[in-house]
Amino acid sequence: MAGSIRYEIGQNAYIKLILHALNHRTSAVNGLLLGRLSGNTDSNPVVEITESVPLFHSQIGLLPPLEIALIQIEEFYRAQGLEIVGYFHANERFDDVELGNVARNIGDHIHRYFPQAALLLLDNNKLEALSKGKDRSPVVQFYTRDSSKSWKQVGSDGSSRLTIKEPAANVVLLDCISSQKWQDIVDFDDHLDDISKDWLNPELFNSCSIAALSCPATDIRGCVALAGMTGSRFFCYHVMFAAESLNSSICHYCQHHHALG
Amino acid sequence: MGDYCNSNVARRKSWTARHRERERENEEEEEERRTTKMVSKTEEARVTMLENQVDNGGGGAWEYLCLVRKLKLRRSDKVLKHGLSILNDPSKRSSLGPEEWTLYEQVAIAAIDCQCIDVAKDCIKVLQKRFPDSKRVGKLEAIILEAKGSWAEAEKAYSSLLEDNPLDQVIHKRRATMEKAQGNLSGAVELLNKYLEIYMADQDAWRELAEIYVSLQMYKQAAFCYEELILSQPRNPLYHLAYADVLYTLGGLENLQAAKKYYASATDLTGGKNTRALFGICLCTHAIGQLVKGRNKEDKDSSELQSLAATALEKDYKLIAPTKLSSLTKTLRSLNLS
Repeated sequence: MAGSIRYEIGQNAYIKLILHALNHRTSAVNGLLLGRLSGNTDSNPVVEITESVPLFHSQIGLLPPLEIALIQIEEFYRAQGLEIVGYFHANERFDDVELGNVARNIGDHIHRYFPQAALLLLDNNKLEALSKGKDRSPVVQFYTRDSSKSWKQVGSDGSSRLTIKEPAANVVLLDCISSQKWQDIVDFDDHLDDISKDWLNPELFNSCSIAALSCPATDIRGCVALAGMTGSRFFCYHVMFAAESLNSSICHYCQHHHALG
Repeated sequence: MGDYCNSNVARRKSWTARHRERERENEEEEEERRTTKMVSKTEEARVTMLENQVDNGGGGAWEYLCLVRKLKLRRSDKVLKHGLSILNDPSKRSSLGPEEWTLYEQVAIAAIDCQCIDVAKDCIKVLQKRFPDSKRVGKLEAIILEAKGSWAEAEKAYSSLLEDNPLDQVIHKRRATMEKAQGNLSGAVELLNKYLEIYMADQDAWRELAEIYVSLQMYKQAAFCYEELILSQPRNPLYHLAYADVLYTLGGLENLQAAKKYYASATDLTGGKNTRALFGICLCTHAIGQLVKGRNKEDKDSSELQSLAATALEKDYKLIAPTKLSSLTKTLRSLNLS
């Protein structure tokens, strides 16, 4: 059935884009989404967004850096069997939730090569509310292009939904934010200014290895992120805190020991 | 008693203790952050080094704050933290002498940028006691109104300040900022244009206007701004680069050929070290080639320029970014096939 394509974004790709936005809070930023279309075209096709590359934080409306970035990034990921499947944009102002023309134009270009292209717009209100709620959905507005050739926002109840592959991704995101991980992000702008900086950000998540656990009290799956510098942190889906020792941790919420590893 | 350097006000929600939200700042102002591009690498390295030093308790806070002020950088969270540590320590404070008031001003602005309005108000109170009836302090008060989102009151405050001092450049620019902060980009453009009719030597304002035009995709107007900037600073490669980028974006054979010239001059001015300019040359040659395909073959030294640029890029990548060399080679190959 046309229109019932699911979209799934990987945790690392998702977090990278948000951290990039936080690194340059005072300007608009954008990024590319990479992945593939999998599943049969007849039943349950899924656009898997597995990677992302943060692009620019200045003069986003200019073509030359964008063209160079598109060519280089596409060439690089083609070897891994991935293609450009979408675009991420964050507006300059906090309360600006409009999908601007620059974003639409770039989206149109990507759509020409990948008709199921996804457009993501950072939702600042959702991001701000992240610490207060238990929202598992990504802090973005999600647009696709329908047959009317314009970008339409997809609601979270729509048939083409965007979900994050790892359910506790927002918890890990909050941890990255509190440990100020955004400072380590390198984007394509930084690369053009200094080519020794790698837009692949290969070391970004090195200090975090993710292992999945389920909390015996609530049977909810969570992720454990081990942050090298500050010891281990355990995330039960409900709460996060810093553990004392690396061998075990007690979830304050359900008071159960969870063995890490 | 002129300009502020860091008079940037952001429409920011407050930071919580545990994390930062994505705060979008309604910002602008020539007077800063864009100027980070204008800061040389050595200066930037010095700032970073000092920042790390102070962060890790190694001292040098005052030197860091002075450097940030001089270079007009926007490091409000650090300025706030380290500035306050000096101001809250009576012995450190008194050792500053008359510079103490400059620091109060700097910290007040940084506090506003970080949405710590109470801290800012305290600083302003101290300044008011010392300099009653000061216009400069009056400006700070108006900025606080901006930060709180009380646009109408801030506008009133600025208008009354302007009555007494109609030639105050900073206030004119702050009014343009307010329009941008409220999302009224066309209003900001209008105010900036009016301002530039009088103060046409203000490069920061031209740069800001150019960037707003680019974000509105009004590239012709952006090109005009960069032309003014190149006229005022003909040997600044960043202006050549930005102008070339805009020309390329405009497209069309004439613009592409002009863009190529400006990428070439940017390359010349930077001794061949600027990656963006080198890429620009390759892009232009390719685009021009696409346009004139089928017509008489253009001069051969256009392709010579491109191959020189390509060689320079490959050499740089091989030396500095070898992991990306194969992507670069493929990119260049796709640009050479026309």
